[in-house]
Amino acid sequence: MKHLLKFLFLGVFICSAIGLILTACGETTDCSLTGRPSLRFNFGDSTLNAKKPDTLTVVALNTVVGDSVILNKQVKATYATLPLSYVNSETVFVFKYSKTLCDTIWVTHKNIEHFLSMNCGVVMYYKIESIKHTKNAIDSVAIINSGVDTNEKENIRVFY
Amino acid sequence: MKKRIFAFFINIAALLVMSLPVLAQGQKKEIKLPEEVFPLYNGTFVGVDLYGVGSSVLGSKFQSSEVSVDVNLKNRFFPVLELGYGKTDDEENGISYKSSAPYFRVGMNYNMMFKKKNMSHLYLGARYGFSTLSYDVKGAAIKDDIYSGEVPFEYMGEKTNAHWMELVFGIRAQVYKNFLMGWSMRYKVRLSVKENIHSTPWYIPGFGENKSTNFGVTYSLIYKLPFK
Repeated sequence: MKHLLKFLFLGVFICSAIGLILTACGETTDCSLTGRPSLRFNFGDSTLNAKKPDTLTVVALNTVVGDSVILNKQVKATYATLPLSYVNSETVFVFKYSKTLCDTIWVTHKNIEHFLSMNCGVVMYYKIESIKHTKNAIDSVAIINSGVDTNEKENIRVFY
Repeated sequence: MKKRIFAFFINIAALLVMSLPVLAQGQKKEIKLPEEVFPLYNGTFVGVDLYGVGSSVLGSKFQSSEVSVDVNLKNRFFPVLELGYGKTDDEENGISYKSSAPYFRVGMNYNMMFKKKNMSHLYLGARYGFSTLSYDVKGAAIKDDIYSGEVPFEYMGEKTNAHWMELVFGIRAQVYKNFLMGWSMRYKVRLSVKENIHSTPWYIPGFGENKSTNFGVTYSLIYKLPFK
């Protein structure tokens, strides 16, 4: 019975110690999935009869301040991460290569607001449904991953 | 955080005080029958967990009530069924979350002191837990500071289910005749939780906060049914 008493005390002690440690550790929450997800364009190799422009400026239309420059005269850009609208189901970007050459891209998307946890809150995810574009410099586009989240994986590849 | 640590200390202190009668009783009975041969069936025990109720009073976001039934086989194996009901109603960072649902666990304890003819013992055990639940989550509208506009966020009656496993270490001591009390510490590992399109469940009754692992404690009052 003495052993049992020792075990009782030991049990309570271990309970207390582990409980305290884990209570303290339990405060840490991984909120790495929060933040505003961006649509990632990767720029693929040139096709046979066209070439990839040297500089790229991307303008988002219909923002709070009218039209906003998201990417400004980026030289030899290999990718661009661009924000999509929370409210509208279509976001429009203008890709400017020079004063006289530009392309417009219409991205149609489904907006999916998602509750993560009490600590991390709510984030907006997207699902790309379709893409339209002009063909001034762009040859074609391909949807690589339709899901847009905070993982920054490639969503759309643009071919020139 | 400070509130939770303070609540934890108060909780431990209260349970230590509650343990004293057990220690006093335990000294009166000391039976050593090393080579006892036990029959297959040695009784049925019904327990009520007080920790889930008590922890919410002391500041926890979650509350649970739980009843367990276990059977003593050969004084070594204790198959056990635990039925409970958990709930939460919390509001933080402009988000309110409400859920209440039943859960159950099934498993077995192994008596580490099986050679002794004594209801008091230490045990190791394992559980499989399952819960089917629904929850309401509501938050402030999500503002779009780039394109303008906002999206309301309110999803009621989201349904999901969760499965998990538990490793259990516990102690059980006779208090008076057929009455016992027991502690158990549980390391819980989430197996799967169904996510919804617009939400990830935050609280899982019986498991706790929706994380890959959790730690749990039970403090039970147990009664051995008076028939064999």
